Amino acid sequence: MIKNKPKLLTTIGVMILIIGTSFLIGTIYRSTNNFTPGLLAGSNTQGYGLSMPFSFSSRNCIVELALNVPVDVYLLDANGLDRWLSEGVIEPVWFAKNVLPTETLSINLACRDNYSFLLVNSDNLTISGLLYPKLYGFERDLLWFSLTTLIAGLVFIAVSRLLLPRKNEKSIAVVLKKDHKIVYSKETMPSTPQTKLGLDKSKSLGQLCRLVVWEFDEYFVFPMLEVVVVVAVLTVLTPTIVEVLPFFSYNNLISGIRLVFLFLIFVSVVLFCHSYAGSISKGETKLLLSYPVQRSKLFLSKFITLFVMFLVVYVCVFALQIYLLALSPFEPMFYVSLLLMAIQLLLICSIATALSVVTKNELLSILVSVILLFGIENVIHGGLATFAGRFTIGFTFVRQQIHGGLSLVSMFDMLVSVFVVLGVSVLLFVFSYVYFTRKMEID
Amino acid sequence: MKRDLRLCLAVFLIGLSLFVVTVVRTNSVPRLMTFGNEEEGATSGWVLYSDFLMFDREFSVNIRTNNTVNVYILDDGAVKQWRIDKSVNAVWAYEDVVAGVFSEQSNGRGGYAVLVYLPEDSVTVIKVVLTFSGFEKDLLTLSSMMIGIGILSTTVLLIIEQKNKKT
Repeated sequence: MIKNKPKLLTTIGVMILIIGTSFLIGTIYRSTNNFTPGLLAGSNTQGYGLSMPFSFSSRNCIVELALNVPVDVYLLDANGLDRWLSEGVIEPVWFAKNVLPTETLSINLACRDNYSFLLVNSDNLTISGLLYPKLYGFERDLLWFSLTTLIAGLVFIAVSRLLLPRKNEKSIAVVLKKDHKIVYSKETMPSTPQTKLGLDKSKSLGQLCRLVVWEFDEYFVFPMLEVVVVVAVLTVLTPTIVEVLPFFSYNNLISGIRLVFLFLIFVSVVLFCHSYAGSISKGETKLLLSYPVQRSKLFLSKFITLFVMFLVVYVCVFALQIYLLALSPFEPMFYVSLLLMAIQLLLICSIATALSVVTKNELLSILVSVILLFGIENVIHGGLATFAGRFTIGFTFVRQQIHGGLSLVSMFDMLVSVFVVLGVSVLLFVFSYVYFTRKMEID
Repeated sequence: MKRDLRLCLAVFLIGLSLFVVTVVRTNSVPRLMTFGNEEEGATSGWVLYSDFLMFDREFSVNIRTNNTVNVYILDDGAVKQWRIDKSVNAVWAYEDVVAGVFSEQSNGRGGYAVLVYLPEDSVTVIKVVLTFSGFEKDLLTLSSMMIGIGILSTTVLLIIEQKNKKT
């Protein structure tokens, strides 16, 4: 963990800046998406027409009407729709009276919600036709969030620059010599693992265990582990409930899995790159290897500690879903989802490890890994290219094998989503292992 | 940081995140469920509508009919029992109702189903709307307890630490 406050502030600032930039890129990309399907406006009830609820983000919206009669148009949010359906009360967030059948309306959507169009004909004529809503412009909430994050990141970096000691003061602290030996000041001295590890004992497995414990103490220092747990809780337990039939409740395990992977990618990449590349750039790896510690054990201890901790945290949080979704503890789909998540996590960890040992630069490896993985996950929706997509394919295939239903996923897709991922993960892991233990020069 | 203090802070943070989850879930779990025969379905006799997943929240039962009916809400066990021997062991029962809104508190998570009895001598139109509101009580209790324990234990540990420093 970084003990120097300005450095810590700079790191936090850069992280926030990266998040803000990626959100801004996401916002700009999302603003190009204008597709919305035609909404059916017809109804059995004379004088009224209610469209299906549709998820709209906080953007500007043009609605082209193609109806048979003039109407009053009411835009209902989710609460308004509930009130209309249960009590018959119209509580719109926006409305327009006496609209012509082929008129175009402009709406400014304040917040993202599920909206429905309620059409009312004052002469009680049957309404039929379609509505074509078209969203344009930026999503205001996303734009504000990304800009605020960017500014916050810049403020953090600016403050850290102000707090940094002058260069000549720092150099005196580091290159202070006494009897031809370098003496570190208290602040700059790297933490020595010798006392904690007891490296003089050469028992192989014991050394690996001690390295694992040391790795845990060093990289899951407060609040790292807590952040991982909080992120897991917030992403795994908040998705929308899509299936209300108790027998099919396991389908809710797949809801919101994209969000889970987006955050999992970010957190795991940061920790893996911090552990591998960070320890190399800080000189910690060099210091450790100057003691009788094998490179292979150091590499394995890092991977095992981080991977197992992520797995344990996510398995524990996922286990809460058994209670929350009223699932049977023996529901096979629950264990399938855990297995699929572990496979995808292995790929994330392998990519982050490979990039870390190749670049040997913490910030660069985080940037490349996040842009690569986060970008693919954010830009492409579903399919074999994304973690969420592969998870969904595997889940759907096993579901149709266990619980039956329509054959939506082929065996080939499932094999690719599981075995190719495993193969690539193993390949990257072996490459990183060989490179770290045999080829890598540690400066 | 001392391990016991860290543990207390971790409990507090997990509690806080569970509280956020509880708040977010008020919008992500279903709020409205409608059962009835306005569009299709039997118009007389015993009718068991499709079962649904109920979360531990407050809910209101809005019954609207053109006749006097009996409406029962059965839990998972009672549904199975009904399917075996047609005996009614309802968790909530509304008998001889024409229209009305009843506020209830869920007994717990799980599968439930709406069973209605419509008079057999006439055609009855019925609509039963379940509207869920508020927080999930079990999650709210768990998160509040964890936050409370976290704050309390952290404070106690900090006080003890301060006292130790003074002595």
